[in-house]
Amino acid sequence: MPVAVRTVLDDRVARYVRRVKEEQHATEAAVVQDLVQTGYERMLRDLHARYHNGELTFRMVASKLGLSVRELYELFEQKGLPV
Amino acid sequence: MHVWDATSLITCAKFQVDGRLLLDYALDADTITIPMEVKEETVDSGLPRGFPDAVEIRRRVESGRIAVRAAERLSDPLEEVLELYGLQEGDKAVLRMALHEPDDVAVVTDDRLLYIVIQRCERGAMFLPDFVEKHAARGAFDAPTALKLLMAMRSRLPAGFVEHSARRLEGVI
Repeated sequence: MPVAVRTVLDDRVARYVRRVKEEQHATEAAVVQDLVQTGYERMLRDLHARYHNGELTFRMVASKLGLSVRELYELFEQKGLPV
Repeated sequence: MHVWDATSLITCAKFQVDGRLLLDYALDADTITIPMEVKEETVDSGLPRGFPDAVEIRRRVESGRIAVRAAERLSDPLEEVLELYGLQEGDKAVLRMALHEPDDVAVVTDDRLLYIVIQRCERGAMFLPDFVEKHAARGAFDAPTALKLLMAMRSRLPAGFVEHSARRLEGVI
């Protein structure tokens, strides 16, 4: 379920958001959403790599992401990441 | 008899060869036992989300083809070690079940860390492709069928795992 959040951005991040907003004629919310989504994807792939390398179990990754085992299986499958 | 982990069970309940689920080929080969935690992870949390594999696993649990049992705790020192590894309850349940079974019972898992811990606990562990190889060698499936089973699961496994088993089945290595 989507959630709406308010946050305070670091000055450098805020300047980046303003620049992209002007460049792409986007809203600040859209730019921040994109940043958050990019960060999430990167974190997901990092956790997947740690699972793949035997540092974490599948369930540890699920726990870190707040997902059930079945939800994580689906997420990995959607992203083309092997179990 | 093998103790099965959740992701291996899900994979086998998702993919088919010649109109049959990989799971049914696995059940032709050997009995499958899972701890209650794995049943919760695969069936109970999968059904509300509408995953067809959850329905398929449930059918086989209800028919008795997949046995579900409670996994008893191990000794306190060993439980402490499992905690230090950072294992989650489902991981521990798989290990507990395996360690309460005879030495020749192996765990089918695709989880590399869990595989290592199981081996360090001096129990057998095998990846899904290993299960296919083992039971092909025992005559449960012929080599062409075994190769089809491997190819069917290939998309869900890391590169090399399926190919390694396939080459062995082909007699190339």
